[in-house]
Amino acid sequence: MSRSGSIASAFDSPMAVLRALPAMFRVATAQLSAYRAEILIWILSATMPLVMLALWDAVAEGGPVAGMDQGDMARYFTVTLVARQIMSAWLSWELNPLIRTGGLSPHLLRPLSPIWYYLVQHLTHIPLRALVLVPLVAALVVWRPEMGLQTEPSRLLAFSVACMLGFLLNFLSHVFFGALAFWTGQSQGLFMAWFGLWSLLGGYLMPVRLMPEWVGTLNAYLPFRAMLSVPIEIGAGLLPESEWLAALGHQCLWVVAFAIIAIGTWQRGLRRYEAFGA
Amino acid sequence: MTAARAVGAIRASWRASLLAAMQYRGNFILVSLFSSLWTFWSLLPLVVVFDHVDTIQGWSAPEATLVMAWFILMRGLLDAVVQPNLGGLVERVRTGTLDFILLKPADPQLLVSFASVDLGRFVDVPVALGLTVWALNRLGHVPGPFDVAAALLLTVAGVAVLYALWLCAAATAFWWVKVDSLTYLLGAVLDAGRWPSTVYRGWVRVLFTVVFPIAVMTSAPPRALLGKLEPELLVGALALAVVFLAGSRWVWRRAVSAYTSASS
Repeated sequence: MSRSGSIASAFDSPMAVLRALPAMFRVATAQLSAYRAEILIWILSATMPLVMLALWDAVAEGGPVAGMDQGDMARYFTVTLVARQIMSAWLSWELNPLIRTGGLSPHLLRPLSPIWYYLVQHLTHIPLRALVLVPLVAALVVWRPEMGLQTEPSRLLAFSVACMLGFLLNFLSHVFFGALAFWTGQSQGLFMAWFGLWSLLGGYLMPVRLMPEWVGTLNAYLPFRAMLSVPIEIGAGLLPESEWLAALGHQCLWVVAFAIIAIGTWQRGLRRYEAFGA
Repeated sequence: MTAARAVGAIRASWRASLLAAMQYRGNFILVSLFSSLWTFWSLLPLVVVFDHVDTIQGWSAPEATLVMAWFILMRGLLDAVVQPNLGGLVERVRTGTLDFILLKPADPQLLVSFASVDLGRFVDVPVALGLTVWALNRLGHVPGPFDVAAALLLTVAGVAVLYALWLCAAATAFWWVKVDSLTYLLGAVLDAGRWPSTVYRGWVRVLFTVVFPIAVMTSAPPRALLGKLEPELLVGALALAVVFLAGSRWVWRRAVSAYTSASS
């Protein structure tokens, strides 16, 4: 097929992507405003950090746990809430039905790889998420002033960079697990297993340092810290400033590795999909 | 009698689900296995907590495990029965296929609430039971018959409250058709029931006792089992369940009368 020429090429030319960016942002923003009520509810549903805060707050009541007192816990989970929201990705949930039903085909007719559009779609959500987070975080700070959120410019900058890298990792892992549906038809189960590991080893349910030491050792070789914990550690002040650059570099390495694996899987999957004649 | 007809229809539908599950045994076993693995995974935070401390707010590890067992039970019943039905209600309202149910000579609330079932998720019931036995064994506590009866009564009350909340959330679809993620939001709030309700302080605890009474669903039955339940709490929980059920029935009636059906 003639269209496969432009689609199967691993990378679209940067100029073509740049030219299409304004149009992609316009479409994505229109879509966002059409579904704003649903999106708001999705955002508000990520309450897990608050539930975990209640637990760890009660645990730290009798004294600091692994060096973290109640204020540290409040700060940790407030930053977790923010980082999780900003870095959200959900692509594999959309790709699964698209691949199974053939609904992906019209997306492939576009002159650019649809991955670019999905990426833009995710990016347009970030300002809305940030907007919802402002009153939420303000309420938490008023409720628990002892958390002492640090907001000096250098920390905010490093936190933002770490969040963007973490977002890329989340997005690329969704591309990978979504693309697995080219073979299995349904890959949500596999993604949930991955999500389980992420929630524990990425520090979503508790600061990683509270877990047994061997978990930390194991974690050094796994991507989950780069996906979530690094931004939290920077934002919540658990990581000394001298180690920020190393942590961001660690994230960059994982971004490269994830990009190679995710895009490679996607390309191979697409060839298979086109072989079906869909 | 429309309710009796609805029960008959629901029984037939459940039997069909059971037959389908038995036909695809491999898939059924896999789904159940995966579901229980996920359940054990959700216990890990508690394992880490009790690695650091002996009690949280007066609850020891086995006692907190009992609360978790009831959370797993509630979550399992929610995923097995409530969500497959009420989650689909929104789609029926949107597409107008709710007409087919309203036309049937049986109570539509019962049909909409119980006709489908996800049998694989029932695996959470034996898992919760197993955790309960383990925890009671660790405590060396044998609950008396009255304690068991109270715990069962409170569990029924908890399920009633859970169902009422979900029915109200799903009924909002009649007014705001697009809000189908509202039940998802409730599921997120239910997560607060993982821990003993005493970890929540101030107005949050009031919220979780009266407005969204997860305390009734997951903390009260274990307290009854341990013989620590105040009698007035039992009466209060049962009264709350009745109020919630009546309220949800009222919301459902209002919602159906607001339904404009497929043709209009």
